[in-house]
Amino acid sequence: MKYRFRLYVADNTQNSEQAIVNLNAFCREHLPGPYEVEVVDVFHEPKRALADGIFLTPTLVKLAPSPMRKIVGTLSQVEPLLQALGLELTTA
Amino acid sequence: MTSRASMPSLEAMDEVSTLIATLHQTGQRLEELTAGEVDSVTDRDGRTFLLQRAQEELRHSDSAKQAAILNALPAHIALLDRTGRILSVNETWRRFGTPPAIQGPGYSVGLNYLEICDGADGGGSPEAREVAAGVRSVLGGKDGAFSIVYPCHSTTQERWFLLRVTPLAGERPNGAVVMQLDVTAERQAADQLRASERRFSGLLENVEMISMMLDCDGRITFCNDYLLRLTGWRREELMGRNWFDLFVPPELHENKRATFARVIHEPLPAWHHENELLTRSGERRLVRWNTSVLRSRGRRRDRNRRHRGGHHRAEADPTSA
Repeated sequence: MKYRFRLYVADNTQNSEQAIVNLNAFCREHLPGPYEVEVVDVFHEPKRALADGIFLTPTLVKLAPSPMRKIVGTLSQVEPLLQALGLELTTA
Repeated sequence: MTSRASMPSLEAMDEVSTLIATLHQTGQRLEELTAGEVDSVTDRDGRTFLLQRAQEELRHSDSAKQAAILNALPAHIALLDRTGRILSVNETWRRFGTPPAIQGPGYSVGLNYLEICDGADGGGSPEAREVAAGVRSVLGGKDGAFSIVYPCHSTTQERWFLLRVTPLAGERPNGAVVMQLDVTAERQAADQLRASERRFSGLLENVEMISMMLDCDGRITFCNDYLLRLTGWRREELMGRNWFDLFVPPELHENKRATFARVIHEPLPAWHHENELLTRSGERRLVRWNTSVLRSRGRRRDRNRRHRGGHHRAEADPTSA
């Protein structure tokens, strides 16, 4: 099973950069399988953000495995992130 | 009347104040609702707005990155406005000041660089005037860039600086960047190379042996006076002409051309051989050759390798004439 994420950010703003760092660390440390992260800048691709219903940045969208989930913020808290992604049972 | 019409009315100013207050309160409320974890908000039409805090952080971050890049450079860098006033300088400029060719009271932010150059005296003043003219030319949009290499010697040390002036990006001239870099090492290396080449050339010119160089196609790129005396040619008649056409007896043409082509591509360190040489009048001289291949430094040994050609030194046997 491969985890697929899309992270919406706004330019190089501090919270957006922090979210990228935290997400990469989270994936390395907590995901049991392979993963793929796509970073989308809402200033460069506003239509994609609108299509995905993104109104705040940073926002993480978990695309796979289903169900799709959205998490707003810097992703600095691991436990809420695990719960929100429904991953608590798959971690060691 | 036009200017009066464009001025906002008192009622409009009141509304502007109210909107600004609303904007500020909206930003604060968004920060509270998102616990400071959000940088931008997007409305239902897809218009994205950076929150005030994120805008400030981004501005500071960009500014810090640019300053870090400029401060890491060894060059002295200053930003001038359209009048020549120094708006900003990098750490190298701040620490060492500008090179003292343009003697002045100092180069702090706020001083006018053009006035400093105009008022310069001492040994550097001719260069200072040239720099001032160059800066004015760039600031005025007349030239796209200006550069000069100038000496800046002290009693104990010889130093050279490259000064380059480029305009700030934009459709209209609105300032310039002045960059000064110490190029003493490069200058000294170039001087040493020229001196070495002069000595080498002088040595080959005066020796009682034939000395000449060919490019990869066998064209003559250098020959000494001894070859000219021996063969009766003038230098201007030889430079760029094909060696084999002029000097190699017809019965040896094919063999010598093939040998030359082979050693250029599969070089030997050096080799010795003897063959006859034709003078301008068609006489023959028996010559003992010492030939080596010259190469451009730093080229890889592959098919792109460029060869400078061959260098031949030879002793002529006058008895064979």
